Parts: sequence; C-alpha cells; structure tokens
Amino acid sequence: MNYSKKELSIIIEIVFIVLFAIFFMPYFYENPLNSFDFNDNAGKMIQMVIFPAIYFSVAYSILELTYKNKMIQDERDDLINSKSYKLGYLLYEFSFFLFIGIIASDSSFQNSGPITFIIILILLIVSLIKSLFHLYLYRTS
Amino acid sequence: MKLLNTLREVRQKKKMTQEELGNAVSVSRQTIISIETYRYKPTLELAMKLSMKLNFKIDKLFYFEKD
Repeated sequence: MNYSKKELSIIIEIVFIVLFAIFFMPYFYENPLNSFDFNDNAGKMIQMVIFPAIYFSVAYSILELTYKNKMIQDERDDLINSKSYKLGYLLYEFSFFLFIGIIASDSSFQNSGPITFIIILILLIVSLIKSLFHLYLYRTS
Repeated sequence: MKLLNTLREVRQKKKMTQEELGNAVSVSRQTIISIETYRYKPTLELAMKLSMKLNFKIDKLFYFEKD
C-alpha cells in the first residue's frame, strides 16, 4: 500500500505518541503526585512538564525537517485539519469534564477546590474565546 | 444532485500527470486524485484554476448529475 508524504508524517506522529505512552507513561504512573502542594511536588511537576515538552519538541522538529517543509499545503489539507482539530477539541473538552467529575467525586481531592476552580475557569475562557472567534469568522467571512 | 467531473479524461487528453496538474495549480497530487475519485469537492477557486490550466470550460469540467 502506498502512502503519501502527509500520510507518512501522520503515521510517524502516531508512532511518536505511542513511544511516549510506552516510555514515559509508566514513569508518571509510578511517580504520582501525592498532593497538590507545589513545594512537595515541584521536582515531579517540572519533570512531568519538561520531559513531554522536550520530547515532543524534538519529535516534531525532526518531523518538520524531514517531511513538512517539502509538502504542498492546499485547501484539502485545511479541510482535513479543521475536521481533525474539531474532533480533538471535542475530546479535550469531554476529557476535561470527566477529569472535573473525578476530582469532584473523589474524597482525596475534596480539598482541591482551587484546582477545580482553575480548571473550570480555563474551560470557560477557552469556550468564550472559541465563541468570539466563531462570531468573528461569521462576521468577516 | 451529485457533483461529477471529467477531470481525469480531460487531464489524460492533455497528456498531463496528476503530479504535473497538481503543481500547476499549487495543490498536491493527492488532492487531484481525491477530486478525480469524487472524495473531495474543490472550491470554486480551485475549480476555476483547473479549468484555466486545462483550457476547458468549467461547466464541462464540473457538472451536476442529471436526475
């Protein structure tokens, strides 16, 4: 079966994500945050943020250099990207709500009011920006 | 009403490959394949570019299936 450069780059992207899941997720699972106190968990939190950031930066840079610069970006790509981003956005939103549900129902997280508040606030801001941009696009397109 | 096209026939008549036609209108070969196999409907802009590049009337290149 023949694959185009774009399809190959997406397959490589999937491989990067799977490799990340195989190598990093067990580490994060074995070293969970014991509380939401930043001072107790600063090292772990930095690792959890920095490891994936470095990993994905390197991975996407390699991908960009290998394939994406040589590819033509056209209207079909825009349509496909927009559809996949839409699905991704819906899944992110759904996972956020699920996460909030878990936090709200788990007794060990009962004292994590500020975290729940921050997550809800982020969701609200994201939804507001999305709606404003949606309106802007309708007004200007 | 289904939107049909004669892109493949016209392109072959003009002895152009999908790659050449794609480059001529700044789209990928995959986009040309998708249009020819009815998996993608081009925008008016792309349809006009294809029509101009193939020197073929746009309403003959893209047309609605008759009921």
